[in-house]
Amino acid sequence: MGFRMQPTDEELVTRYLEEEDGQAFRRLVERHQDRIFGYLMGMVKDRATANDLFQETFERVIKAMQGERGSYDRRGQWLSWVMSIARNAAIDHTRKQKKWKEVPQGEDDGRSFWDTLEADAPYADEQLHRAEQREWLDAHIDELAPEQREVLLLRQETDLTFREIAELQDVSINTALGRMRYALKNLRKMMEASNETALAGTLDA
Amino acid sequence: MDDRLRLLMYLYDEEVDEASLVRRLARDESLLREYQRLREAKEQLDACPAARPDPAVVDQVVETARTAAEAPTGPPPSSRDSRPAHAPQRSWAGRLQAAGAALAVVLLVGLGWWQGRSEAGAPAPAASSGRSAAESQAAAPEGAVSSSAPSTAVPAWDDRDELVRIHRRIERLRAHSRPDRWGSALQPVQRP
Repeated sequence: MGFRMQPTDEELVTRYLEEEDGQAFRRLVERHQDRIFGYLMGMVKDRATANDLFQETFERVIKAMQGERGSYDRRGQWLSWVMSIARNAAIDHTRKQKKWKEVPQGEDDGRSFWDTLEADAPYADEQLHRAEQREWLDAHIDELAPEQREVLLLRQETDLTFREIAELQDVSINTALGRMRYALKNLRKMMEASNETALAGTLDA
Repeated sequence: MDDRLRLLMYLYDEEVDEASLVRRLARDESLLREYQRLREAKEQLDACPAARPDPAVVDQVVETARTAAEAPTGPPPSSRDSRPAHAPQRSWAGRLQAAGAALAVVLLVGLGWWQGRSEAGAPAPAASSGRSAAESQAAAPEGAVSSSAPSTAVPAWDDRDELVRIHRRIERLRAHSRPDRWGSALQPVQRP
């Protein structure tokens, strides 16, 4: 019995466009939802807003694919193309909200990552631990410089290559790599400082 | 490219000369330490749960995609199917033909009316009356319209006779007001 290969993004795109196969589009969305949503979530720090931007991104994608707004002609780079649309949606939103540079660093927006959990999620303890970990990490990521944070989110969440990220941001690949290097180094410093503080707190107690 | 930047590509399994980089890591301790720090940070990020959109949002997106795929790119089917092909063109052609015919009829009627009006209102040529103006002037009595001319040939309102009458009246007045009518030499007035 042979195994069946997963259809590529382009095969699913073709099935959707030429055969009006809605399930093919669903597979595309489900295949990349974590990447796209993870990036949006990292950019806007709010689940409801990220959901709105996710939907807005795909509305733009669908219109473009159906030829209503431009046309999709970047064969073989569907995710990269979708990410450019998601990025524009996120930037539009952050500009509107004036959060790009004006939000005080490290300030909590009052919304906990707990709120982002599914109400009926199984393994509540494990989910709780992971949620805490995510919240802790998100707080550190939020302290990064905007250009470092974006490269980190694009590479970590969406799995775009550094070359694709450089193209998306219209910078050289060395610039994109340099931003990522500083992002990881700064993140590690913040983690170390946080761990030392936590350890000191434990010892004091 | 700098080795420290190539480390990142290596860390994320992107295309890089792996053998060369491994040799560099074995020889350069600071580079190895940087690689370990970067890898630890990445492992922390990898361990985080992926954020996922609400299932309802995904369903809505898929529904939007399905609706967009099924929607025709041209005009709505109802408007296309309710009319026969090229019906608008035939309708316009018929309307233009009817308008053209009506315009032609109006032009013909107008032209006919204009011609009839011109013939009725035009002055009769002198030959048609059989008399010249001089003859009319000589034969006609003063202050009277010539009765010998047919009424259809010379309308009553024709002002030529009136002009003649006015001219004659002027001539009479001039004759009456000549200075020598009462004598060519003026008599001097003697004061008592």
